[in-house]
Amino acid sequence: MKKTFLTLFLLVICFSGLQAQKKSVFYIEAGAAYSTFQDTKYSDVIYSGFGGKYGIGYLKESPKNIWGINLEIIAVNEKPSTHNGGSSPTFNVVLQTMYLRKIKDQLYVGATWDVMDVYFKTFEDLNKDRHFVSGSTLWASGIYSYKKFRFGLDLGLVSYFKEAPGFASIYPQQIVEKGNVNPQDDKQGTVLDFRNYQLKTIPNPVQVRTSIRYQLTKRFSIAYKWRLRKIKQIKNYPSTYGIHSLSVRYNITNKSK
Amino acid sequence: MKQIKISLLLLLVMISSCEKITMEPNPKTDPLSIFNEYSKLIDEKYAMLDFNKQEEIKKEKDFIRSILTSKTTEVMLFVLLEGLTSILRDGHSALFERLDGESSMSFSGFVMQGEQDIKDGYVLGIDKDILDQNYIQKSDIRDILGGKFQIGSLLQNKDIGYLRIPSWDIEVSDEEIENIFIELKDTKGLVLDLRDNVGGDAVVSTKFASYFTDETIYVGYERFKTGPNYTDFSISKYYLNPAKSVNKYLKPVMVLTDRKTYSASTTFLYNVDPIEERIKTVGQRSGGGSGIPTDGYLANGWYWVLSTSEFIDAKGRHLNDGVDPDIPVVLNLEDKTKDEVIERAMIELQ
Repeated sequence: MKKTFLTLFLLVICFSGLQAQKKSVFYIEAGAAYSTFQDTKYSDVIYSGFGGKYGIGYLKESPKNIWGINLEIIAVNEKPSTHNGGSSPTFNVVLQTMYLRKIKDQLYVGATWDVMDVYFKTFEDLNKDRHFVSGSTLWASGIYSYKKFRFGLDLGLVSYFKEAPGFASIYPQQIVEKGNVNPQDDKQGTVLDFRNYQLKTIPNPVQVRTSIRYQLTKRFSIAYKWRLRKIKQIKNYPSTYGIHSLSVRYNITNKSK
Repeated sequence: MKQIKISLLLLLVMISSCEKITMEPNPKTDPLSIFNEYSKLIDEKYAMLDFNKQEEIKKEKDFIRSILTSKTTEVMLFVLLEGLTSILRDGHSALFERLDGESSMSFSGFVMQGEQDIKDGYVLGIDKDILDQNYIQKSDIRDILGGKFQIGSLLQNKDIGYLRIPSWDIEVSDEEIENIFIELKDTKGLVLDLRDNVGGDAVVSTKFASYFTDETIYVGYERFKTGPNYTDFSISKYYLNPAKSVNKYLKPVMVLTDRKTYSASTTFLYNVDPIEERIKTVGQRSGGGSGIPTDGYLANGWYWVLSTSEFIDAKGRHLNDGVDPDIPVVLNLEDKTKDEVIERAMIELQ
């Protein structure tokens, strides 16, 4: 983990040195989130609920490129849609960095790297009380600017991640399939176990993010974002995650050159 | 032109921003749909269908399907699914009905073969009054861990340690486990009483087991359901690694068992079973319940539990219905002065 942060820090330093600066902002963000969830391995019932979204980040723009770093936390309390069974507190923490180059007037393309993406939910009253996806994803990213609007589209290309539970146990599916279950290993099957990740590419999982941002004033902007992730660990039994958010960003610093 | 571009982008966001179109629709909650959902779960997730249960389950399903209508009441549906659940008989599998949206639930299932045997006349493996009055109170045995365990030595021989673990459903730290074995280290042998222990946390029982060996031992394998097909299983071989402690207990041990020594207790038993020269079981056939259960909700909110794995020990035995003890002893319930199982264990240790 230390290596990851060191790499990220070096990237930040390198990119900041390369830029012919136009604008740099340090911002905080807050808003509302609505998320949905379905894990067909266990039930087709869709869980959904409202909650909050919080973020902090740094963005630097030049005539040639955009780069930034962002930390985002979403907390939602989901409920099943067909019954009054236990609710499901859900959290998503994402630390990401992006770099995009201008290729055409107002159009930027590049990549976003979710250095850390932890989606974690618990189910009240269940023995199988947790569900998580944790890992790292590289996205192809595009941004189109038009007047005060900014449209974003990300497509998940490669993910290094793990998801639990598997088809019929709390352990990630790959641990069970490989015959690696070890009852003396306390961390196995928990989100804190940093082993047993797998590398997967589009179209499994399918991962899409869209966004629209509108610049209200020099310091304030409002954004709607959506994220979809669909993972098939077992054929015909996908788990699907969707998160919508509406948030206001405040630029604490707003330097232009 | 720019307006068209903006409109297209807005449209893209609006259309894409609905993950529900990529999800399965919410399931129906009519009686037939609930029955089908539960049947599918049993077919796909239950790990012990090859235990002569398949035919019985098929018959029961055919019967239920033949009488189910859209007018079948919730109560009747629950009774019917209760019948289906009871065939599973592994002691973990169950179906709960959430009555009021709060915490109170009624449930069916949890049919433990051992408990059923006792109802059918199988002799009890423990008389707690005899144990308490004639052994615990007369010896220097005391409660530990908030009264969850009892530890000490028996009056008959103070060199023999006694540890009663009535349940593994306990939060216990590594330090507390270590302290238990520090207390036992000067004894010459141990009576470990697991009678009436229907289980709890298998991780805890495995940690205890790890104190009884100083070498890694193969203890058997677990068959996990890995997919919806009948043959979708994987095997994880289990090895018991010794505890990283200088206070491991490497002296003779008599483990007392009965038909209610179950689930996480079975985990303990299969972990120490290969240590045959030092550790023996005394009493009655154990209860079994070796599978790991998983759980969830049906579309109407009923809560299900199913055994989705099964354990086969190092000797190739399926443990779901328990195993016979090394030294069989039956309690004489007429004699209120003696616990014959403890007495026999003491003789073996002297």
